[in-house]
Amino acid sequence: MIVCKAFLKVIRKNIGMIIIYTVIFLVFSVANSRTGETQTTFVSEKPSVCLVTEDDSLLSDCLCRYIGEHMEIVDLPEQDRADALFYKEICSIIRIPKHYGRNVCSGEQTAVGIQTSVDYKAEFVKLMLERFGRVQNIYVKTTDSEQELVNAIESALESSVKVEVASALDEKALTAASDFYNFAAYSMMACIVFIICLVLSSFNEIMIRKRTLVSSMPYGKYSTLLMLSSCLYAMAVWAVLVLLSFCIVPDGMKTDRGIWYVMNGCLYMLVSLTLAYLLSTVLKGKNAITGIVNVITLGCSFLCGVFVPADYLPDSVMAVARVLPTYWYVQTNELLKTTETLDKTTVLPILIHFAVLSGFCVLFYAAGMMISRHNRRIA
Amino acid sequence: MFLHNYRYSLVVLLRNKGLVFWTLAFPVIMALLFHMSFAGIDDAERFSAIEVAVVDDDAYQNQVIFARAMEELSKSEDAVLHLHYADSTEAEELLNNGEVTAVISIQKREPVVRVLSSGIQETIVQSVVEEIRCDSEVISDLAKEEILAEIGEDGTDLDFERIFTDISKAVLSVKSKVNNLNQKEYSFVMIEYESLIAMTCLYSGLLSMTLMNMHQANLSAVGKRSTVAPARRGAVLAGAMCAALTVQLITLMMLYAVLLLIVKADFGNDIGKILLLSLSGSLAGLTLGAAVSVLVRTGENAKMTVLLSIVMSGCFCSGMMGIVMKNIIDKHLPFINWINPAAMITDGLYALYYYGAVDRYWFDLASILLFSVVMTAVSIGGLRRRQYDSM
Repeated sequence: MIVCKAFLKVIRKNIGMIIIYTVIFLVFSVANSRTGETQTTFVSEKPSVCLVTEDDSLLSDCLCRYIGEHMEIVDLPEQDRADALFYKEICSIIRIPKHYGRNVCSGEQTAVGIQTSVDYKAEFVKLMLERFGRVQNIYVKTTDSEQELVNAIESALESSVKVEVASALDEKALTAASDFYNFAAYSMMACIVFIICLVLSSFNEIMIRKRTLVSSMPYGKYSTLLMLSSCLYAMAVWAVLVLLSFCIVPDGMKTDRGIWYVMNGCLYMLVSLTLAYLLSTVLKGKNAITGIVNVITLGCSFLCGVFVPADYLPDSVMAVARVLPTYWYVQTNELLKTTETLDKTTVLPILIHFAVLSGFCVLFYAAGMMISRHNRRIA
Repeated sequence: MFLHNYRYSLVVLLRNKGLVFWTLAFPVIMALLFHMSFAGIDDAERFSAIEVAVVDDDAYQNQVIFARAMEELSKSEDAVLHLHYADSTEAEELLNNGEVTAVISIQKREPVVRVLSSGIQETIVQSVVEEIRCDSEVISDLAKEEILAEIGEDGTDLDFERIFTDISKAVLSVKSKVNNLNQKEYSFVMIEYESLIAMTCLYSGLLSMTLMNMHQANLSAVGKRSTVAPARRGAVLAGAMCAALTVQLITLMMLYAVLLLIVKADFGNDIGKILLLSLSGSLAGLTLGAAVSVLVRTGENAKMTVLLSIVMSGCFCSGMMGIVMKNIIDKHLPFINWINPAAMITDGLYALYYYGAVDRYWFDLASILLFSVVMTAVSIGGLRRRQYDSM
């Protein structure tokens, strides 16, 4: 009990740090958790664009209506447009030039101008505008007036195709849950490793260590109690994250994947706990702990797809990331997001990832024990 | 006295391992981590032909115009779709394995698109198929008109095949291009590197704070000695600040070397203006550290926590932990970034990169210098005539 009380006392001293990591986690999780309505039918994306019209003709009105049907038109003042494009608030600025309608009808060369960002949404906008332009160029030769041209274009562009969704998965809800648990990797590792390292290192201070060694309490009991207290703290952090997940991404957690996300989180908590134990045997002093723990937690998060989706990371980075436990944790979340049904075959890769995470736990704990034994001998 | 203090302050700073880590090593480590994580983002977002499976059965082959248009689309240089012809089972397998984004088939003489979920790639496939269907309808309309016209002229011996082929060729060969007004391709992730430079500039506050703490009588034994020493306080502090600035210059040089040579970040061509802004930012960091050291009257650790909280909150608002954050703050809570030195530095670098040197850059530079002047005034005001009755 004395050990446990002392442990909690040191934790209370670092409560500010725990709150900071929890707040950072909450801000990012809430920002990423706008899941919207449950979606199992196809809904066309409507990229946001800024439309600038310098022409007032039937044809340009027709084009504006067409753009409005397929895209979200955002009204922005001139000075804010370039910034909005850079920050991808909009994907394109579309400019319909002066005398557009008149020039098209008289056969003069004229084209809609666009400024775009570099992404699929911008390509979609370009495709849609080119589609309008093609239909317009086909019919301008066979119609006699602007009104006739507009009617022909509108009737030609009415066609639509049937889109079926093959998957019954609510991908938006599962994406939100996966993103939540992916980001939890950073918060959980930072909260657990940093605080436990600080606490254990304060128990490892030379004077306290000597006092403990000469005390009546058997060393085995002392270290077991210390480990149990650390475990208790780590479980509390994990429990808070699980609770938060049910509050912030309830749709994803209510599916059959919910329990798997929780189990994956539990294994990652154990990995963080054993890593903290290992680091506490190696690192001395608060400054060293702060620096190394920051580098390890940020490094794991950046390299394994916590901050940036794993699909965006280069293959070379992903190859290196395989030696880190965070990679296996994040990959499990990704598998849970995309696997159509969970059965014996599809669960197998997830269980293999669990086994790898358990392997990391054993490895870290064994290494920590070895170093601790060595340290005790030289103390 | 100045040189003596300068030299010893330099030694103090360089021998402090924690300080060397946070000011010199940490920004470089962050730059390398950013590089490894963000290097692929621009390429991943750049458009490339979307993988699509086509169910190549009798129903598909019977839709001659549709099949021909699909082939034409995937053959062109700037193809939107990359087609995989397969039977229905194989196509479904490709879709479920994530190897294709959509499966296109013909059911009851109508094209049907099958996807796994909603998204922009799926919407593009939908719009392409709609376009092809639209072309088919246009060809049918024009063919009808042509047939009616030819019947009017000479009702006998109509060559339907020829009319149909001619019109198909004519319609499918019509092209339309939009006028691309993009001047240059800009990288969205540059904000991360710009805010990293802002963080590094403001981390110089740790250097000035360490030295200021060293010269305050209520904080250390060295401070007591320094306060009672017969040396001009201004000269002592000026030497300390110059030493901090020297270390900061080394840090900036290392960071820029990593960013330009390894990360290959493109900050624009105006190196002089970039360095001027970085130096001014470092000055703002140094004065901020000094002001916090003077104003916050607690222990060294608490002062450091306050300074780091200010710097990291500033970096958060300038987009370091989420690129769009700066834009959101600028739009909804602009007053925060008016007083945020990290946002001023990031915005100045962004203005140079995105707009070239414009008024916005000079405005940011002036704001940073004004911030430094205010912080210096606050530090001087706090330090002047400070006396202790007892220690």
